[in-house]
Order: sequence, then structure tokens, then C-alpha cells
Amino acid sequence: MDILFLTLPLALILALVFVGLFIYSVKKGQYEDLDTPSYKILIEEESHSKGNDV
Amino acid sequence: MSQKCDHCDQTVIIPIKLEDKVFCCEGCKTVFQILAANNLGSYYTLREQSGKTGFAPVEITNQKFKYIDHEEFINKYAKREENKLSMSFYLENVHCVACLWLIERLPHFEKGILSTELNMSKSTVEVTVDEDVKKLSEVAKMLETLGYPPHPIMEENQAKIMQRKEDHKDLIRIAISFFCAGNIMMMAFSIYAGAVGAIKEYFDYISLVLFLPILFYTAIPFYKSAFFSAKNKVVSIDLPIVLALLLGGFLSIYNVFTQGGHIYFDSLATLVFLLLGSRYILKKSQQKGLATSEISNFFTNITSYKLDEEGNETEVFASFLNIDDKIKIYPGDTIPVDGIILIGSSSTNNSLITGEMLPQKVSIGSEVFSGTVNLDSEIIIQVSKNSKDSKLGEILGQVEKGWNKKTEIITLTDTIAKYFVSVVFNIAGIIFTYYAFSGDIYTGTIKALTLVIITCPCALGLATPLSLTLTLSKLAKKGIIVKDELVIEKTNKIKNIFFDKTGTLTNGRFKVTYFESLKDNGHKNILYHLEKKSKHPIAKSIINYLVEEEADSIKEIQLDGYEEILGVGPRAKFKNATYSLRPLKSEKTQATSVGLFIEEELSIKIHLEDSLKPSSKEVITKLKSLGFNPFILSGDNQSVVSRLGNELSIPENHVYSQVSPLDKQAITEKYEHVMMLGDGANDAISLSQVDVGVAVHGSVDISLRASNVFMTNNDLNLLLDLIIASRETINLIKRNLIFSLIYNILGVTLALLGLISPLLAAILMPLSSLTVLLSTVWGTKLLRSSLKA
Repeated sequence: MDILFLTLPLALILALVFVGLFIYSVKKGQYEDLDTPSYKILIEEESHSKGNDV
Repeated sequence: MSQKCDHCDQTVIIPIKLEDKVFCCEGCKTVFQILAANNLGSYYTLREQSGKTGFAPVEITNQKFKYIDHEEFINKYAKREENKLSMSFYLENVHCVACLWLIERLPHFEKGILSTELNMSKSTVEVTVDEDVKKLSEVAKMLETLGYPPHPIMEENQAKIMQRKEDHKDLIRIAISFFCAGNIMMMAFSIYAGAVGAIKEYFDYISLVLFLPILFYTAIPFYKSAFFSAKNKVVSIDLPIVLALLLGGFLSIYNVFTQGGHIYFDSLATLVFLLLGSRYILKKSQQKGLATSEISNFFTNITSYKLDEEGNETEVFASFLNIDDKIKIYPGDTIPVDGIILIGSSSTNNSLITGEMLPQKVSIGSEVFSGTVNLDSEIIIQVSKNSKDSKLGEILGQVEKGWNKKTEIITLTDTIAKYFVSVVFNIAGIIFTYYAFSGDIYTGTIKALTLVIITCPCALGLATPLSLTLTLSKLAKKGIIVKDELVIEKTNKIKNIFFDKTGTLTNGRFKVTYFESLKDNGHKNILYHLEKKSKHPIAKSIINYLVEEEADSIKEIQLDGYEEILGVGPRAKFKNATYSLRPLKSEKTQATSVGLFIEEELSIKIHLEDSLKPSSKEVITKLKSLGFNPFILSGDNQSVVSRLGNELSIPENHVYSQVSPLDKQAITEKYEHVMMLGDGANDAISLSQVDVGVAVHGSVDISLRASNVFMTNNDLNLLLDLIIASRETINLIKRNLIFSLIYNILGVTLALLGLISPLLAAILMPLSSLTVLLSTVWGTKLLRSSLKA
């Protein structure tokens, strides 16, 4: 069971990385508008490439 | 033969054709042409897929949004980065994915627009343009042409930035609590499963480290609110929670170092996580309601036409007008400021300010007020007051005063918390004294502390925001937007309900109640074309009536010499005969009556009335049977109002007519437990000061801001839903309270007997929360039926 003394902190550090990523995404404003992106996925992608030369 | 417009959902009366397509108006045709020219036909496919209907026709005004390009305006509203300029607009008519698609496609077919970002939940768009290529005013015009009238808004004001930061902090706190609580739980699990010795000690220390962020960072909001309530000498539900958290936390830390006694990290961490989460959800569901009232004042948010010394017009944003400026007001436009008429005469619709239904005549020298609508003809006015001192500004000032005057109510949970704290502390005190006298201070302290921790009313703290969130979000789905959760408790105490007349009990617009054609049926068509050009509310009602009832008799014809005679009506020539619309004085009726004359012969007789909403009578009757006292408060004249009172069988002494905005407030102040429903600016002061102010569908924005409930649907039955839902929600909270009390009594008994172990505590605490949660989600039968969409 001694391996726990190594693996447990490692697991916690890994989890902390995810907490850090979450904080980063919150600060970047990814949680500002939760409605629009759900509509956006309904729009076909193809026309995005068109007319982008403006 | 009724045909639908190919762009909107309007029935076409006189079709405007374009190849094989038909449109109801030029506006719709233009949008279609723009879409076709830019290969954007999929807009219609997307819109159809979204399954929404009821699209309004596109109205094109002659405003050019030139004011947006003024340097002064840009400095205030826009963000500039090198040659990139961005501004936010609130857009009307944003309804589905097709709008999103179309608006975000703008940069692809309009040179100079760099990006457009639409926020569907707020109906706002942020437009960025290349300053050298495109002007923001052109984009605004473009948006209007596409059917989304834009209103510039200040995105980056102090309050909004603060709110956003607060939201970010909340989310981060929730995330950290979740991380800590989850991991502590895993440690705790193995300890309960029987971990001993070095492993247990190791786990204990890791739990301790993980508990520190909770104790010192994520629980800060609870400390703050407990501190504030203690400072104001009231007990809130946060006080026992904080006590349990602090006592339990430090006792557990002590126990980790001494390796003896109970450790409560797991229960406390989970508690903090759940409470933070449930409060965040509640806050979010309230903010959704507030978003509708966020739009800054629409009256000063309109374009006005300022005249310089040579008489040239320039477009100016109304809030940039100064005293003594001369502005031109076109018929149909809202007057943005208080002023004196210099040139021209017309009539104004003052119903928003005074509640009067009939238009008022105004001429040179008359004072006109902001928020009223110019009906008949062009006038030029001189601005006489700053927007702050205008009649509307005064009302707004009073409304704000009302907000500050409102007394904080002590909520049900706070009341319970008060008793709770005193009972628990008394028992804890008795236990401590008992053990202290028998000489065992250590055991006494531990037992008293355990009691405080174990009886923490977490279930109550958790269940109340959750049941309120559930009710608020379901009410919002039905069309009742509640701005703060206290409304639910206040509604439950309401006894007297005051109704405004115009627009609340009635439709707020004239409706044809009697129509008689005495001569040629073809005159109906002439009547249609005569009224088509007029902006008068009566004309609009007649048009609506003809379109609904007599659509077959309408054809394209050309009238000559059209003119509108002030205070009388329109007149025009057709095939050498003069047709005119005039008021009929001889009719023996309470209704407004007008007639169409060919030369001097009467051809069509029409009666118009502001009729009751279909649901008014039923709702008033039900309210009375439920024991409420309905009242009518109206600015309109006495005969109209008392007739309405009779019709609704509201007792004479509960009907008030010809009351000013301040009178309304004075009357509502005389009663206790008052709810008020209204729509106009004249109701705003009362709406802001009564216990529950409800702005009904079609309210002006000042009333929306003044009230704490907003109905997005014309049906007054929503009021009954609100009342029943509030009552049942309170019942539900009470039921949850009983559940959590039972758990607490059980906990206290076990603690007193010394039978409580950390394992039992770890089971009891979440179990009580779970029971209460399930009970909340289940609701009550009546609550479910009243909230059914």
C-alpha cells in the first residue's frame, strides 16, 4: 500500500490541472453566453469557407 | 383568397409581387431581395426547421442612424482599437437560429464589417467594423433593413464589469469546492471502510490540506453574509451554517493533529459545495429576468431630428439634446423630451403618462411631454427641460426613491433560523454546563460543539433556494418573469390587488364594436385607403377591423388630394367625389363614434371602444372568490372607469378614476399587503413602492424597471398562476423545513446520547439534504398544475 504515498499526490496534481483549465476558461469568458453556442451547432459549416476573402 | 407573405407571417391584403413571390410590404420585399442577391436563401430553410412562427413584417423607417457616427457618441458607446471600431446593439425581433445565422453572416457579404457576434439570450450583437471602409451607422441601417431594429447599448459600464467578475468568482469557487469536496470524500470513504494506522493519518492530513481552500476561500460569501446580518442585528440562515463550518472545521483540524475524535471535513466540504451551487443557480435564474429590464431607457434612446439655424435637419440621439434645441417631430414618433411647440399643431397620445385613452389636441405654445406620441402632423418643438427634469424623468426619480424606501422583508427561512439558533445554543449551553459541573469540561465542549455541527440546518439552506429556482424558472417559461425571489413570499401575503385600467384590464387600444355600411359596399375600400395613411390610433383600429372582417372588399385604388384635418379626420377625392371621415356627435352611445361621408351623406357608421381583455372578468371573479380585494386605479375620466367597475362588479368605493401618478401612489400606500398591476409610466411610481409590482404585457420600459414581476403574455390568468405558485412554493418550503427538523431532532437525540459517530453524521447530513431535494423536485400537486406550461 506504500505506493499510495506517491500516487495520491500525483492524482491530486492531475485533478488540479483540470481545475486550472476550468478557471482559465471561466476567465476567458467561455461561460458568458451559454445559449448561443447551442444554436450555432445547428448551422451547417460549409458556407463558412465561402466569401471569407473580404 | 388569403395569402401569406413570403417573408413574414402576415396575411397579404394588397400583394407586392416579385416574380413568383408575394410580399405584404416593401420592407419584407427588400429583405428577400438582399437575401437572394447574396445567396442567403438558406435563411428560410433554417427558419422553417426551427419550427417558430409569428414573424412580424419588416418595418422600414426613414432614420439613418447618423448620430452613431458623431465623435461624441462614439466616445461614449464604442470601443476603438487602431482602426477597428466596435459597438453593441440590442436588437428587436431576434427569435431563432436563422437570425443568428443571418446576423453572423453579415461580415461575409458586407465589406468592412469585421465581425458580428450575437448573444441569443440577451438579444445583443457586438459589431466590429473597419473604420476606414464602413461606418457603424451603415451597419445599423443594414440591421434595421433586415428586420432587426437596433438600439445602441453601453456594454462596458462599471456595473456590468463588476457583475461579470462576480460571476467568474462564483464559478471558480464552485469548481474549487467541487474539487476539494470530491477528493475529501474519497479519503473519507476509505477511512469509513476501515483504514487505520499510517494510512489513516496520511489520509487525514491530505483531507486537511484539501479542506483549507474551502475554509479560507470558497466559504467567504457565507462569512460575508453572516457578518452583515449580524451587524444589522438579524439572524440569517447563514449564521448557523457559518458556525457549524467554523466550529466543525477547527475541531476537525485539532482532531487531525491529536489523532483523536471526529473529523467532519467530508460533510462540511460537501455542504459548502452544494450551497454555493444552489445559490448560483438561483442567482442566474433571477438575472435572466433582469436582462429584459437592462436595456437603458428607450425614450431617450431614440433618434430625434435637430434643426440648426438654417432649418437643416440632423439626426441626434435624444439623450444628447440640450435645452433650447429645436427638434422636428414627425407624426407617429414618440416625443423624446419635454418641450414647447413652436410651429404646427397636432394631437398627442398621452396614455403612457396620464392613462387617458383619447388624444389631446396641442398647438403653438402648448407643452408636450416626453413619452407621448405625436399623432397627426409634423410639429417643431423647443426643448424646455433636461431629460432629468422632464415629466418622465420626475417619475423615474420617484421610482428610484421607491426602490430605496422598500423595507427589507424578513424571509421565512430567516425567521426559522432565528428560532433554530436560539434553541440549539440553549441546548448546547445546558449540555456544556452539565458536564462542566460534573468536572469534565473537555467532554462538555466536544458534546456541545458536536451538537452545533450536527444540527446545522443545511437542508433548509439548500432546499429554499432550490425550490425558489424551480418555481422561478417554471414561471418564466409560462411568461411570468420574476426579478427577485422575495416576490414569492410577498405574493403569499397579498390581500389587496390594484389594477390599472388602460392596457391592464383593457386592451389599451380602440376596437371596432359596431360597423354598419349604409350604402355602397365599395366604400369600405375607400375607407381602408383613407385610414391607411393616418397614424391615428382610431385609424389603426379601423384598418385592423377591415383586414380581419372585410379583406375581400379591399383592392388597389388611387385617392387624390389626401389631407388630414386636425382633430377631425382624413379627407380625399375619388372619382370626383369627396370622402371624409368625421366624428359622429349624435350617436347615443358611450363609445367613440365616427362616420364615413360622401360629400355630406353618411355612408358607414363605426363605433369604437377600448374593450376589456377576454380574461379580465374571469380573473377578477376568481380573485374575489379566493378572498382578495380588487381595485381599479385609472387616470381616465370617471364615466368610463365607473362603467368598467360595474361590468367587473367591483364595489364603487374600490374604483378610483382621474388619478395622477402621485395620487395612485398615495392610494396604494393607504393599504397593506398590496399588489399592483400596470403598464404605463403613470403606474411606475406605485409599481415601485407596493409590495409586489407587476408590469403587464406591453408595458413601457420605465414600468418594467419599477416592477418586480413582468408578464410577457397578454393573459391575466397568469396572475392567478403567480398567486397559486407562490402559495404552494411557500407550502413546499415549510414541508422541507419539517423534514429537516425531523433529521435535526434525530441528530440532537443521538448527539445527546453520545451515539453519534462521524460515519453516522456523514450519512445523516447528506441524507437529510437528499430527502429535502427529492421533496422539492416532486413539489406539490397544486404547484405542478399551476406551473404546467
